[in-house]
Amino acid sequence: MSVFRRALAAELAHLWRDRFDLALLTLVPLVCLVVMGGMLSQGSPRGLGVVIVDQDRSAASRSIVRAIGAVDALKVVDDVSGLAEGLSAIRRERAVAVVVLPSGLGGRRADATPRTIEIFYQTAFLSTGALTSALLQATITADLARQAPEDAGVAGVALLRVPLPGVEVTLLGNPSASLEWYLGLLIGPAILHLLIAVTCAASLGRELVDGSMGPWAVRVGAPAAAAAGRLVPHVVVGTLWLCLWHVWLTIGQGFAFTGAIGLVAIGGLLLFVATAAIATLLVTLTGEVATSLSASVIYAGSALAYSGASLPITGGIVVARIWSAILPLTHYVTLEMDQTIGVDIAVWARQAAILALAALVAGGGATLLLRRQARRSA
Amino acid sequence: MRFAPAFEGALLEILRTRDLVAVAVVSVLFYAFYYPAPYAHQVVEGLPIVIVDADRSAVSRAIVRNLGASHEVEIAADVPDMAAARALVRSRQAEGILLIPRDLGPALVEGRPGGGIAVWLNGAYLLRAEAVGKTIGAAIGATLEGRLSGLARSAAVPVTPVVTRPLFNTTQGYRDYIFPAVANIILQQTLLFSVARLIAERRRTGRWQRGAFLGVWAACTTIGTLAGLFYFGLIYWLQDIPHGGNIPALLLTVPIFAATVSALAMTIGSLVRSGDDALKLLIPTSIPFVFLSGFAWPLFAMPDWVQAIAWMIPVTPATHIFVPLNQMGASLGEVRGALAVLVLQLAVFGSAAAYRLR
Repeated sequence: MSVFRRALAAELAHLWRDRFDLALLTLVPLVCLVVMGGMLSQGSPRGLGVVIVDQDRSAASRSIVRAIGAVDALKVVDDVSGLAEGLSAIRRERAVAVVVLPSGLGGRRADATPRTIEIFYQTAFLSTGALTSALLQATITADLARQAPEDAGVAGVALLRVPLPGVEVTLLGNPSASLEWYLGLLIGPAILHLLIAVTCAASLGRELVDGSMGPWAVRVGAPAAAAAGRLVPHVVVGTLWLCLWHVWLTIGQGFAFTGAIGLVAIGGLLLFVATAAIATLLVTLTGEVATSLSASVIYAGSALAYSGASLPITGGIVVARIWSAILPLTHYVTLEMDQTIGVDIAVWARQAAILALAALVAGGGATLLLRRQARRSA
Repeated sequence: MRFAPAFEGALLEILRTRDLVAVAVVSVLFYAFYYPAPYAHQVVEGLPIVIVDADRSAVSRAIVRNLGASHEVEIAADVPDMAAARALVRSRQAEGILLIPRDLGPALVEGRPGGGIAVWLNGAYLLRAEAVGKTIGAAIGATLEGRLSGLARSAAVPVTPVVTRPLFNTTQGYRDYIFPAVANIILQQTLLFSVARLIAERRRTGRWQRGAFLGVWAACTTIGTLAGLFYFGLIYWLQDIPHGGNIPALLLTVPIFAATVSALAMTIGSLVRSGDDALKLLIPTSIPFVFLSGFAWPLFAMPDWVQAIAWMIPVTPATHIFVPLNQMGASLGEVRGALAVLVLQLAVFGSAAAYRLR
């Protein structure tokens, strides 16, 4: 039996015997992904709380309140007399926004100075705050325009205050502007990347003796092949979980890649190969399981932040841009997101090649270290 | 074992053991600068957009000029047709397309705002698309509004302005949004890792002593409290993150959070075989816990069973206590719901840890 196959068989036997390590590859990802899937399953947020401060109490202001109440995602939670009460509702997280409808709103529309409708919204939790303010702005402006049909031509001026007034917007790869699809594409891979980084480091870490992999490397003879055989189950399991996650997102939730899902799966496989190679390098470099695991949290646990998927890293500080370019998750996320809009195969190949290069560099470094430690132990 | 020696022993062990000090102290310091770094620029900058200007009029040129002057967008190319624009998007040289149709001017005079302008954005990156969309909207709006305002004046029809006023994070910066939420998870996870490892290793090596529970719990709570105050005091101030909204309430709630996390960690540490197993189990929870805290995806939008799980994790009430206290200047009464959950967790996890380590 070859070194690779012997190591593979030994690792499978260990996973069968050690239920804790087996659970890390089965139960833990299952629970994490089911809970995250459940979290996203109700679609984009609904019931975003709005407090109304209606100082006008006119037909016009009531019409606006009705229009806000009719929006699916919004919910009028209170109607209070002053702004202070409304802001308190925001601090209590009972509401996301306060709409102040000023007195005089329902008066003659030909008044020389129009009153201003104000939307106060919280941005400490930016995603819900921005969504609520955009919905409120669009709803109120549309209702104002509807209330003045005779001025339809010039009411367009009001519409211009809404983001992208009268402009046709198409979101490539995410036509329904789904937060679920966007977050789903990021959360699953990020969790599995960190998990596989941990299981790979812990698996190899079992062979550390006095901070060295040398004795193990001597025993197995060909350490690179043995490490590869040992980590294959982790790479395969990670890839399978990622594929299942994508099956749930696409077939289960009805989202679609414009490009090829198969290319995303290959990208996932390359991500986990790179993750396994980096874990090998970390264990041989640090000679300690705990330190390797801590290093895994640092590079894989924060990789989503550095991937540029929420805030593009292009305008970031130099160190952050360099680190982002080094991390494999950045390239996997780029490759995956690219397939949502469908890109040229050369663009996919570039990201795939970077992932393969990361695996080669980390794996190559780990092999050199393993051989050196083997020579010292021999 | 008496309280004082147990307290002192645990504190010294955390500070003197390389693995523990690395997680409980060095990681806390490191993450304070490492995590905010990719968000330091706060807002979207220089995303490449390709222009298809079929109008070539003064209005269309003004729109492109306005757009080019914006911070968020960079005009990557000005191409003659959509086929060329699509090719640039497919090769990822552009993030979006702005199409300005022929006869834009007459369309505007007829009162059709937008006049058939169309925008294609990469919606896979939803937050990025929203930012770019807003910028393009603002550029178009500013240009067209200027040209139409004369028309509105001549018709003597005033328009009710609708103004949005962001609260608490007034620049709407990403760092000021993400870091205060993630800081809580950093504080929780570093304390969980180190305390669970401490307990698991003491039990594995037979060094756990009866009667040491309260002293060890107090020591771990002290470490967690100092880390929390370090973030909410010094780091938020250094990083210029909205902070210090209600300091007296923070001084009361931070130790409660630290004690809750310590108790949970001690329980977990008592259940696993070794310190390494504690890390292997807890590290993968970091990312789900971030999202379950409800900062990116609101808690009320989660199904009841997911909400129930989320509220069992200390970081969830902590996020809804510390963000309102730090960033919104909330009173203790305004965070009483989340505080009640945290106190309940303290009672449950404290009892569980006391039972396991009695």
